[in-house]
Amino acid sequence: MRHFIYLLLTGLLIMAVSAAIGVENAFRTSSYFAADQLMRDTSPELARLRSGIESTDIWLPHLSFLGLAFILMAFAAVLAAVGERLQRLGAEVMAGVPRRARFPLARRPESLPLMWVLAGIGMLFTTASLLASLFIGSTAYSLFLNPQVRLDAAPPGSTLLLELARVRAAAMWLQASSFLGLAVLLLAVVQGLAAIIFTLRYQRVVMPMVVDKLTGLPGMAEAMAGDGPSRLHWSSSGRGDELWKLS
Amino acid sequence: MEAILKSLMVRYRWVAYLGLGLAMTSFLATLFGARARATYLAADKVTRETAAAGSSLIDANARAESISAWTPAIAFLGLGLLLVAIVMALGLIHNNLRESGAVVMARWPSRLNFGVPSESLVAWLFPLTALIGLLALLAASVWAFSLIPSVTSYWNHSITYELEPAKPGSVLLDQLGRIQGTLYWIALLRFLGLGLLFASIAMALVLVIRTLQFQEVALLVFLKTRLR
Repeated sequence: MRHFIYLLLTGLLIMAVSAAIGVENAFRTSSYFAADQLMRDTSPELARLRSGIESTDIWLPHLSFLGLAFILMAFAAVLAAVGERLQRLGAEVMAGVPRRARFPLARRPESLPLMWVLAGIGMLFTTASLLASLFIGSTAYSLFLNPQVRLDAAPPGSTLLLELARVRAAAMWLQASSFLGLAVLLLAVVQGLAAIIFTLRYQRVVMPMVVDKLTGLPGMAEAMAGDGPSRLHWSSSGRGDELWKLS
Repeated sequence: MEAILKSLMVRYRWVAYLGLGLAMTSFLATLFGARARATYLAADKVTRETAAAGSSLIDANARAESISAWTPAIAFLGLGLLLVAIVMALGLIHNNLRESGAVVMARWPSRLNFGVPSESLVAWLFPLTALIGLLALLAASVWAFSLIPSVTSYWNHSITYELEPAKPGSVLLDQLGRIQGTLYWIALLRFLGLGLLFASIAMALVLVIRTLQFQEVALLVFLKTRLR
């Protein structure tokens, strides 16, 4: 549960690697377009450069999506930790009150295991999209090693045209599949929040009843009676717990 | 207004499922688009570019182009709805914290009952920001859908005989300019919408933290006063 920091760091590392590869690909793209169109369409050296650019363009966005997926997974893990901490805190508080004032603890929220299942499915989707994009990227690499003039002259039914169709068609659905993976991960985050809401709602119902029972116990009513400070006000200066102050 | 917001917030799971449904729809639509694109690119370059309007090749290309015009907007709207669901859930957490604090403190001596934290401007701003963000994403989706007839009509022409020789000021070039220009606006709206939704999440988290700080101080004061 406390592994969210590793998930977050992995996500950030993947994003940083993607950014570095993206910058390198941008330089390669500008040197490719520095040549005139005739050279670009006919030169085998420039075709080799283009094949690297085209293949990177296919798989690089999915590597970034995987980085985002790790960050969202870390977010979901943090929420799960908060949910479980709230439950543990409730149990600790309940253990501290006299036996007569105790209430049963909230059951484990169903949305918590569902959150982990959804997070797993989301990660599976984004990883599968990356693997598929690497496969399509390798096809694109071998395809674009051929200069454009050879691609333009490819006859119907040739391997070149079939590969071109596969590469261009896959680029369409690959992006949507990565988006779907992120959507499933965001749904996991929503389920993590649902677990927190479940615990808070339970505590909202149980806590007043515990206080009522406590004040009914001998000695507690006296402890609760009497005067005290008047109100809290919000102070914009200071930090953290100093922001609410007694007037 | 507050009552309406509260009744809407409890439906956050439905909003999330709707968002997932839209992302799924976008994915399925791209599968059809990919099939159309594969059909078009399976023909050789000369056949593709000289195919006449109304032919199966041109139809396939027009279908692929129109699907790629609207599917990203729907996917972003789906992600946006999921972010809205997160905002709603955070709003619900904030309300729960406030209400449970008020209910517990109502049982304390009146001088120790601090009530609920005063509502700051952020409490009004975060649903408003989320609403504007969602509206931006909705506008982007509606705009993308309104592009479909133009995209289909533009690509339903022979590339060699009609699209490439199009003269400046012609209907075809006007259409192309409108399509490309609109796609930039749509992209801008999408990222504006997502940016506003992330800002709304941050604001909702600030509210939750503020309420927790209030309750922490109230509890410390109670303990110091009563259990000395």
